[in-house]
Amino acid sequence: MMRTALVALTVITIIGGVLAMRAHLGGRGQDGPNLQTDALYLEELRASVALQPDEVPGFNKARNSNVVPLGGKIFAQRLASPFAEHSPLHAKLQGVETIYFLQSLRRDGNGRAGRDPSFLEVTLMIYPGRDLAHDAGILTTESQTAPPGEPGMPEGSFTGLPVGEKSWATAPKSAEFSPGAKDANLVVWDNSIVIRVTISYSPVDPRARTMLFASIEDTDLEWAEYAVRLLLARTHYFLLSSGKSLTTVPVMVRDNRLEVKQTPEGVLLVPLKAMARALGGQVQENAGIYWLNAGGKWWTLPLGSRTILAGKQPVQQPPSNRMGAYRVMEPPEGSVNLRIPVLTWENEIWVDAEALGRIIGYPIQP
Amino acid sequence: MRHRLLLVTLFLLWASKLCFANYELVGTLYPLRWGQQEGSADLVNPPNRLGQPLCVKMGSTFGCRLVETGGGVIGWKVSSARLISRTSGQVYWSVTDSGVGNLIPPSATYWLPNIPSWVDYARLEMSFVILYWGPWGPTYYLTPIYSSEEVFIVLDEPKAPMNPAWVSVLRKSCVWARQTNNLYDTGRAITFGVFFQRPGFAYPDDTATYWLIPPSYTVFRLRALLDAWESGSWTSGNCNDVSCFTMLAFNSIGLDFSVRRLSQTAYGSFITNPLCKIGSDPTLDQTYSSWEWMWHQICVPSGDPDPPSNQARIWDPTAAQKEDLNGNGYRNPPAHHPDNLWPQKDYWQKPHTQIPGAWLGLVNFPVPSEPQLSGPGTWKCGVTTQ
Repeated sequence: MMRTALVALTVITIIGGVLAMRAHLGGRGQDGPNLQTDALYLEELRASVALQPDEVPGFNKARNSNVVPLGGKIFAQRLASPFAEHSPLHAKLQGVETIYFLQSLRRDGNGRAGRDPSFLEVTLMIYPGRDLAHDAGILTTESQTAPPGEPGMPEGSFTGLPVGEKSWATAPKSAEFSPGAKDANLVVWDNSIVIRVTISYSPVDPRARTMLFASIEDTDLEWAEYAVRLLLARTHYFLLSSGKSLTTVPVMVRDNRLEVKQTPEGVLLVPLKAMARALGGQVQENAGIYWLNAGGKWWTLPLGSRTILAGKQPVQQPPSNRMGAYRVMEPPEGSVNLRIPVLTWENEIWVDAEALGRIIGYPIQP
Repeated sequence: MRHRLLLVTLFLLWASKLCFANYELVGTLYPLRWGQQEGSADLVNPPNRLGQPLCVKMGSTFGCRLVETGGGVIGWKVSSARLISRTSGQVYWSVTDSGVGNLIPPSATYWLPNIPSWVDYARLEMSFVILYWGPWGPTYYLTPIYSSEEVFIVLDEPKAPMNPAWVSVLRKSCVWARQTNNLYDTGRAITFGVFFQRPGFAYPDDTATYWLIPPSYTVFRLRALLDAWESGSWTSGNCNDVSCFTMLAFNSIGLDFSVRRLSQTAYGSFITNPLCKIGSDPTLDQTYSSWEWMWHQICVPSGDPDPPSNQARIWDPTAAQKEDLNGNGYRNPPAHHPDNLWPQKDYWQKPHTQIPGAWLGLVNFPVPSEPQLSGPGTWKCGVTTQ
């Protein structure tokens, strides 16, 4: 009898522990942050996540103005949809308070016909729960190719590299200028966050009777994806650090002292560049994709990704002229999953210590 | 010398009080908002003041009242008034009452000719003669010409969610619908106006929605869209965007429209007949192509019956069709009109009257096909300045 009670107590303790860990680490089933929607909080959020001039190269003006700063708009809104009675996803989101951040940027460039001015539109949403955000992510892909409530864009990203927990992308390709806008969209869901970024070009001749558009160029797709990665990383960092402090904890990595950050939930985040320097390695970077050479292997760390990709060579974006929207690649053997996406702040890249420790074959602990 | 200077100063002060007098328009006027920010600060306040934009019902009686003069007025009148079309330059009416006769009491209304019996975007100019007690007794004062630069002559009271209507929307809808005065002519003019707006909407290859805020897609970013057009840029828009915007333009002018999503009875995708998407030239054959859609959203008058009834009348500004439902050359977006009927069932699919085996209307395949509601019944989007 006593033994049965002890076993039951142990099982309950283990289950409780697992659930608590999941809640702390942002794993599946976690409810997202309780939404704060007071004006001060929203303004802090806006200031923390907004894209700055030329952060995405060339995009340095507000869409419709030469004088309005890039700032973006932030507000909270309760969702209400006439589709709620007809679509289970809409029904689940009915009445849910959501934080919105909207930003519209313009690139004048050199005014090349069929490209500039180009526009980058950002819609960032934060939900009070992971499952709600997942459903909202699906709905955010709406198009006329799917019934309301089902994904209207295929799963994927522009580079085929992972971003967030799930992403959807379209990048219509056409060999020549043709009627119909060729906007490229990337929708990303990660935990309580949904982001949609759209990049669009101006028609070749805005005064013509038929608007002819060019497909979005590879480099612009790459930069649009970079914008999503940056926004996702910044928003995660804001939600992790807002109203609480990340404590600095010294750790030893192969006789090198590193200062890592510890979240209130106990997750250690390691500064990737500093660690690479300490180990005599280096980090290469291109448009939010980082490559670390360690232990004879190349590790690819896309910003905002939940996976570190393993490889004998750096995992690259698809070769030029092949880019469009791709299904996100299956992680190569040996890849490592992360409890928190790859983050960035203060010119550093911050990576879940547990995953990084597995890469370098050395546990990173305080 | 100082005494005279003081008198002149007093006179100017007195006269300036009259200069600040306000002139209130009387008639069937409707409230307006600028469409620049959320909340009550966006309202045009007051909605009937000369100098402000005005929204007035077509064919209504119209007059003017003097307010807030600070007292001392003995009598007044309109010295001159003109209502001028901004779209054609035509002077609709002109009132000239020179001299100082025919004054009316301060609280009386000065009636002007009626507002024209059609929609238009106009300008109102007025000047006044005021007789008041001055420092030296009764004094006449002839005001400068005051104006309301924007007078929106609408069919009827603007309808939700354009109640109050946005000034920025009326600038478009009143121009598109100028000189029209009924549901069918106005509806067709606005449908064509949206379709041929330059810069305006261009249908996107990805068929995605752009101007309604995800994930519910029921609030339209109206200011952002109009600002984009105003700054000269083209904007992507699928049928969700285009039909909702058109509904807003309809409702700003006093029609009452909603939107509705249609799909086919046998649930699944359908292939359209060749369509010329918005943003292209419908006079050219090469701009027509077929699409595979799961649903399509169009405009219907609020109150027209939902399927299974097919009595609703259709206005669809997203794409032009080559032929009307009689098989005659059309090359315009469907807009129900006595000249070209677009009832829902036939709009969706109708056997070609001249080519056996061919189909008119939206759907080419599958056959036969009947429209049904996709999602909610007939609904209206909200609007935001965000």
